[in-house]
Amino acid sequence: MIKAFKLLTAALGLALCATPALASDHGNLDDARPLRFEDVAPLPYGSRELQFGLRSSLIRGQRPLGELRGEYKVGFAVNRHFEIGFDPSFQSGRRSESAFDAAYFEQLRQSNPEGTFLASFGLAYRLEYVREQNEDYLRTRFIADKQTGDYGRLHVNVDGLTSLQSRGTAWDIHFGYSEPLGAPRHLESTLVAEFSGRTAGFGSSDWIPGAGLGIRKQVSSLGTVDFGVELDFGSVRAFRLVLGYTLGL
Amino acid sequence: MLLAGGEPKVTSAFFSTLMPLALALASGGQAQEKPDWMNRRTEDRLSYLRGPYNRSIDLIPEFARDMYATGVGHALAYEALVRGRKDRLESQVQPQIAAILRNPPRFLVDEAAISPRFSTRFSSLEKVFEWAHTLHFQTIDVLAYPGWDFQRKEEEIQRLWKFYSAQPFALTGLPMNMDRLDGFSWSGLFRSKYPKTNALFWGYHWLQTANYDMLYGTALASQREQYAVLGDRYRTEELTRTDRDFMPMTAEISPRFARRFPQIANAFDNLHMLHDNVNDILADDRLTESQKDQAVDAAIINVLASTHRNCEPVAADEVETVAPGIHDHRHPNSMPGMGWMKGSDGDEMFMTGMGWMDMSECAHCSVSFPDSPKLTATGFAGPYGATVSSNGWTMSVRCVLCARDMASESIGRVILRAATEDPSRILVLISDEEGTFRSNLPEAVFLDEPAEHPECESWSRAFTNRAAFERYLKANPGFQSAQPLVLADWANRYNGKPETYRKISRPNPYRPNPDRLNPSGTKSPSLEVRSR
Repeated sequence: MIKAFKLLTAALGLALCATPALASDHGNLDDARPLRFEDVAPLPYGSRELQFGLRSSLIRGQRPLGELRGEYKVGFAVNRHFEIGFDPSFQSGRRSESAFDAAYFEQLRQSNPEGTFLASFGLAYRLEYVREQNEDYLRTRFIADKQTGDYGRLHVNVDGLTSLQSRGTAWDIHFGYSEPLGAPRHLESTLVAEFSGRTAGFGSSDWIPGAGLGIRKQVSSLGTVDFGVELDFGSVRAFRLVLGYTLGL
Repeated sequence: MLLAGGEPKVTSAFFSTLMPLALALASGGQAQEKPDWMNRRTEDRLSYLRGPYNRSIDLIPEFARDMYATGVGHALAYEALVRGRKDRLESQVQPQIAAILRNPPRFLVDEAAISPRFSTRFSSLEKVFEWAHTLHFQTIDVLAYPGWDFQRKEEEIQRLWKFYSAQPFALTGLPMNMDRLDGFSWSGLFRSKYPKTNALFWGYHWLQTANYDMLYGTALASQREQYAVLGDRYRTEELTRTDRDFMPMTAEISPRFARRFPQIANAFDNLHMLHDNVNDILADDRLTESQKDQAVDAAIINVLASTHRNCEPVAADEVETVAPGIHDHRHPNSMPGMGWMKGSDGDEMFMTGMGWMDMSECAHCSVSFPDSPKLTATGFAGPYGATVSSNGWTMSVRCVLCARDMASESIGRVILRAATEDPSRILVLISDEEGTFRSNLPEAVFLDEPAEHPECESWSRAFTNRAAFERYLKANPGFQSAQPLVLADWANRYNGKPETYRKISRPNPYRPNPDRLNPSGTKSPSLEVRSR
């Protein structure tokens, strides 16, 4: 875990130094950067993006858990992008069975833009493989965005996780809010907040509520750092810290 | 019933009953086909062309930040217009924008984030704007990139134009009749109702065009030095000017770039005219919201590349019958990078502050530029010719003598850009308030053997160094006794106003009545000249 953290820190530092200077991207929020909801905006056709992230979780009754996340996104068609990523996790005291114990492929497609009264909708399909739990599942994500106030945006993500081993479906719902901080005078930081609820497992009817707060800050013309905290309430209490970096290529 | 600029005289009854006809007429009497993509409202965002030069604008930090701030300025004004805050535009929004312009953002701004309502309602327009702004930034990035030579940059700018114009949101690179595009019943409303906010828009457009001659053919150090002058002019004067008769045109302010890349210059002018059209439509209280939406769509279609796909540009003197409506693609004979202006005739056009100018002639001695079937890479017909920039205007002259003398007749700081024997190296001289020049080519020398102006390209020249001067003398034995002049000696000379100079005396076509005040309540300025 410590070694992995050092590696990630070094990679983040290197990327920050090496980047020449990214357009502010309040309209392009991504899953895990830093909270768990994303917006409908696909990458522009022809563009590419690299993301790194580190998530550290303290869960009651368990050893601290660290997760790394790396993603590569490509705007492969107009209003569509795909991403491939790996999501290895490490628990203190032992390293998990594989360095790449989770991998996924996602395609996001914006199905309609926002109108004066209508929200913008999109659908994302993500095929995830989680080795440690010997689990493959398909995540289907419905996304809706809507403007509110002068610069704020409301986001809804509804995830359905269907086990490919036919163990049922798990649900994960996020209500998010984002706003450029200090707009219009300052445009480099975006505040993100969410309330969420997820079922405790496949086929479970127990819901775990959660909340999160974070910030994305543009640090160069191509780089954005993000930082967030997440809390899970209810029977499973957890506290997570998230740190990440996005680099436009 | 469609009026050419000035005060609108159309009643609301007209608008409610005859709007469809008005919109058809706005397109020259022909209903233009709406491209499919304008019926789709998805974001359709496209990436810029990849290249090592991207974001080289940041190498000129003050320029980059001023350019980034133009995005904030556009977005905030548009958002206020669609949110029904027009009455606060001059009193609250303009000062708010001005404050941001004084402390501009460090990075390129996502305009949709600060104009969400506007971007949502006018999503087609947003695509056109964003794509054209991408061309703006990428052409700037190429010219500011220090890693490539002149020729490579030339090729890349051509490639950028091809890449840009291949997309459906591209604006036409053909010259458009600006008088017609500014001749709708709503034209001029924004500038007369909201002069201070309009000054900001025209200030941004001045900056977005003035930079091209600043960057073209010059090295980074010189670009930075030139921006110290241009940026100061932009912030202290251009953003608050309410005396302009018309929006700044690329060929007026960056004539060298406009001659070299006429399609790009025309596309930028068409973009800026679209901004003016949209401003005027949104400022028109006689239109319903639905009519505004239709009018904005018509304004977009008027300037799309796809609308004019089968058209060709044509020099003014080659036109037998002027094409109707929006398909009038005449340009001044000697300037293919400019559309037809109000009152223009052949090569003559009216410029605020300068009066009538003939673009085929030297602005200082009025002798015609040499004919040449092909312009060289520097935008002139040969290794001569220069431009003089001062007080927001830029003039083309035949030789460095005319440039120097014109500079010394101008008040304030001047930027003189002259061709040398090396097409890839432009001599840039920047004067301070006292008229003392600094050069980007420290070894430059001058040939200054005044004779008749029609042959000035032979006796008034700038060379990058003494060896080039000697080579010229060897090839031109008539000047064998001439001595090379260093900058300090050359700059102290002054030959006076040439006898060949003629002032074109015609009234301001935008203000036929000279006593008529402009929207700000002041009269048009005249060119101030002095002898040093």
